[in-house]
Amino acid sequence: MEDTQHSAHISHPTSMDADALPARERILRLRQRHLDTPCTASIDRLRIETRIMKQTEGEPMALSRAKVFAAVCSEMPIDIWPDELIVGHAGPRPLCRDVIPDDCAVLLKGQRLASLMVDTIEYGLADFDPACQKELIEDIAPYWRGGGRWEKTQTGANLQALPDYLKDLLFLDAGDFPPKQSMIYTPFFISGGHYGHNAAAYPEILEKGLQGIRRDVADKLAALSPDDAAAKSFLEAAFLALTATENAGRRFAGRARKLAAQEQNRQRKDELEKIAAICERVPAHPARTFHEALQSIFLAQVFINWETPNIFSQTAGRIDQYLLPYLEADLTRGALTPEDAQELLDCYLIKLNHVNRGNHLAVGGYTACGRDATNMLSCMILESMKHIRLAHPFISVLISPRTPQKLLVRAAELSALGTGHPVYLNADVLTTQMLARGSAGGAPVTLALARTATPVGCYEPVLMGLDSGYFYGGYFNLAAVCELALTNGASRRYKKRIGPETGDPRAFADFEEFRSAYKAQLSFMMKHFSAATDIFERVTADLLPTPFESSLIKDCIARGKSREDGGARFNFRTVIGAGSSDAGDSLAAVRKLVFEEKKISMDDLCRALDADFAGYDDQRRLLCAAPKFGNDSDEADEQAAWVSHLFAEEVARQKDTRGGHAVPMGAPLQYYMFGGWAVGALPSGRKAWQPLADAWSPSAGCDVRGPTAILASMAKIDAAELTAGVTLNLRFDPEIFRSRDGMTRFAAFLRAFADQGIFQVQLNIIDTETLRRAQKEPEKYRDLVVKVAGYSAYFTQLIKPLQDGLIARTQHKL
Amino acid sequence: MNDLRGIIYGIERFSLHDGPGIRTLVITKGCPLSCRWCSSPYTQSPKPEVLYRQSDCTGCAACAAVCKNRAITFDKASASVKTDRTLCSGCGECVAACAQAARELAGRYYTPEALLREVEKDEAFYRRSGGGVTVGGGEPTLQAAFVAGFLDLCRENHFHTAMETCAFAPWERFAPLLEKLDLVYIDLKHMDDKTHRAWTGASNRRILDNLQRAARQNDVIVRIPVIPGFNDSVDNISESAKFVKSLGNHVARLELLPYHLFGIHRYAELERGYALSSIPPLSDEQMANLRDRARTAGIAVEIGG
Repeated sequence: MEDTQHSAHISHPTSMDADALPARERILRLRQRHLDTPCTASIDRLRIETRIMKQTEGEPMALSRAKVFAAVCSEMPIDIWPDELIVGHAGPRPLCRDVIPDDCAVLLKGQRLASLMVDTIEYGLADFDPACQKELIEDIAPYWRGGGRWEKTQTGANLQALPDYLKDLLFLDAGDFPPKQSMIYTPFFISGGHYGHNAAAYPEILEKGLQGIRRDVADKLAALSPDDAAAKSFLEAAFLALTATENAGRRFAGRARKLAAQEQNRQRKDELEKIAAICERVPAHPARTFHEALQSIFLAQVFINWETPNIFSQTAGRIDQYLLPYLEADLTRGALTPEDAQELLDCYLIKLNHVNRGNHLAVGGYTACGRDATNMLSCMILESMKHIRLAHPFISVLISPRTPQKLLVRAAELSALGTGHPVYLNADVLTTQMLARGSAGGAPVTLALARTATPVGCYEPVLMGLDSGYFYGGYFNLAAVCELALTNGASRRYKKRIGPETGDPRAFADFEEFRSAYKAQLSFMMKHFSAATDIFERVTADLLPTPFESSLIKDCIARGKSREDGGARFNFRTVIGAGSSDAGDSLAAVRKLVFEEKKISMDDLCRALDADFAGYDDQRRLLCAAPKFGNDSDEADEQAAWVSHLFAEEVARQKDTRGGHAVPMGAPLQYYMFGGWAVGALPSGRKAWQPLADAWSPSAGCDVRGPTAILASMAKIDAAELTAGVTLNLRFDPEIFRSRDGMTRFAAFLRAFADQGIFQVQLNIIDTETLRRAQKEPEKYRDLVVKVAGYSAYFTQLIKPLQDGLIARTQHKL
Repeated sequence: MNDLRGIIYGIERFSLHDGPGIRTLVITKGCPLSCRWCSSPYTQSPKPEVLYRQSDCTGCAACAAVCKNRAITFDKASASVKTDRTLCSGCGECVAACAQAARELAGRYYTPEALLREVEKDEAFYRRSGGGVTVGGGEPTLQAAFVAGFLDLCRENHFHTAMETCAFAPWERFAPLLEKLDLVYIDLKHMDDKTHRAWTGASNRRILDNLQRAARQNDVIVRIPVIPGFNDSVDNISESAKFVKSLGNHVARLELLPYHLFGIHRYAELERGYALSSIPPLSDEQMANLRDRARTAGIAVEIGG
């Protein structure tokens, strides 16, 4: 098989557990088909959306949206691949990105769509067939362009709602459309997108079926006071949407039946007939078997994607907990063999590559009453991931003191495959983060609920079926804040003042005055961030309510409100920090060299930074040699911890517009590169426009004392107050996994990491040589999966600077 | 406490080749042997030494200007500097003066307490992995009093302790350390005294004797660095294995360490030549063959460490 060429470089450890089952031929074929399928884009859904939006102009938005969804349910093209046992997909076919209204302006401008939605795709107008191009230009785009400023799209509506002073801070040129962000002020959703980032009430879907939930909506509607018009239209919309899903299930059943009729192979014919029977039943009605349960939650997720295209991080959550009863019942009554169960699970995991990105399955952790939650399904999920070795879903192992060694060793075996899976999360920190939400201004979370939190996307913890987190409060550039504190508020990249006047740094009497300036710049920026995000949140609520998805989140039905409008029990927004290590390292360098040792004057420092160190080699050498975060040096670590804490505190002061609050997060994804492009030279010795440190990880190449020293530095950061999580990237030499003894030591490393109160660690277990070879011969390494910044991606599809960034990450040897 | 000090080349955290679990390896500086294949020449001298990377040097001669001992001379032709090692006191002034970081000071003095502060940083990892602290080198027994003081502190903190030694030390100096160790790695370089002298500069009698005595009281792992042309003959390996067998049950196993070239660039940094530079390492098959021969003595034998 062609794709296994790179895998040959990686020693696949033989499994240490006799009960681990090998991947079946079917799974290998499905995997290969997935890898061979090109990523495309389509206007099929947008065509439906445009037609219905035109027809329903003037109706309440929730109803219009429900009608769009209903039409998508009955018209969206569907596909069933050979070999599939679980069926469904976002878009009109697997790996096809739906074009959304906001894309029209981009395409018409001659730009290409780039999105992680279906891994990496670059798709321009010319890539569509001529009829579609014509339709897009003549029929579809004019509707969304409206009066000329695209005000029917989210991007246009956002811009219209923004006051000029915010536009000035946010954009390089507010007159451009879509405008280019400054990369210093970067609240999200400037250019389309939606909440995503959630785990719907899947257990309830399994138990009641979508039609059971529809009955709840009907009951609520019947009891509603007649003058509550807003609730009435939302609930009517939810009713309509839930009704439409039954039709969608039947369409999959019909398709399967039709394929069965044509099928010559007896076994496949039976499989297709079974698929038909299952799709006839679920997710409309309660699931009775493991197979039905998997298909039910998967189709429900597909429908969420159909309602809101191009979203991230919708997640099935802790399936090892809520699917276990179905598996056990089937095994007990002999309806399913363990081998068949593993195969079904493998099929399901492959299918998670055909819906939104950022799917995240978690295994292990705590039960609601604080016991170890590990079970046979936890191990089977890790096994499935070994079988499929694809970028998705993301998998995390929730580690607690009660986690059995077997789970950790199974996880280490998966790590050893070098796919960047799984991510390791600290179950105790996760629980504390949930409890801390209450103390940081959010609605209190009970202990039992806190223990059942599930990671979505990279690892953002949410409460399944109860949360509506708006994960787009923006990327907050903590390194830029440092620059502003040393320039009296002026940006070197944009050559204008964007922060308050905190004084000429040459006049700072001591280090504390510098930190006060840092704090003042940060507070100012945060306030304006928040103001912009308030506006985007309201625009989303008005323009893009989700009657279907909202009915799968608790209290939306009871309150008669969408998740976008504050219907969910828990509401919050995240603000994502970036460059905390750069800021910490810079503060540490200024403290040591300018104020303590006085080896560099503030004047020289400012000139050196202005000149990007040209002519200041000696100063730069001193700055580079100053203590850096990630080496267990208190001098540096305490400054990074101070920045992290200040950021967390300032975020927690902000409220959202839905009765919730703001929560801090340390997962800037690939923004660490873009954010770097906007920041000049820093006192850490980093040169102008270079990438920032990846998330809360040490700056590339600055961690020279090994992984335990990084963890020790990381342990000084208060992970629990970063309530939406924080990323730590490590790269290990694959050598450690070549022996059983190495596996055991790796498991011990994981336990010690959890002992330190660190939230998350993600690993790339690929040697530098392999990455270099993959850069040179990408065609041979198409299935090389790496962790970039909390998410997994195919290495060869990453842009060159990101590839280089991964290679530069210090590799921890033995 | 007292002013006991030891010279340490480096501290390696997350070391996985020097004993059970996750360990911190303390690399002492100074060795009584001068093995021709030595892969860590910067640990031979018991004094601080300046390492010099010519590739990073711009020939600015700032180092020569600050040298109080006039040990550094500037060579115009190659636009680089030379250090007369007999004049160098290892004060490190030239390292601080180098804007290119082309010079590095190898060797730092620690008190046992200061060293403990470094190794206790990874206690969480020792506890979880059954790991601990390994003192290697260099040769720890050259600084026996300092190492003993440090090992006492480790034991007070309940860290597992191991030592890697060439065992070339008077028994009176060696024995007190053994009492403080949970595990000892002892190198066995050659069974023949004449060959041993020729390649290491010292007799093997004391080593063999110390090995026998240590194995009566300590858990020991014997290591043979397998050097092509020196000790890789089947005869020598077989004889070594028989000797290890004779040591009794305290010896957990014999480890054959393949010869490698990872350290040779360090010779250049010390402005020295390397005696074995043209010798290729043994193949995996050759190593496996030696391992299998050694196993016929009836002992556990592994490759690597």
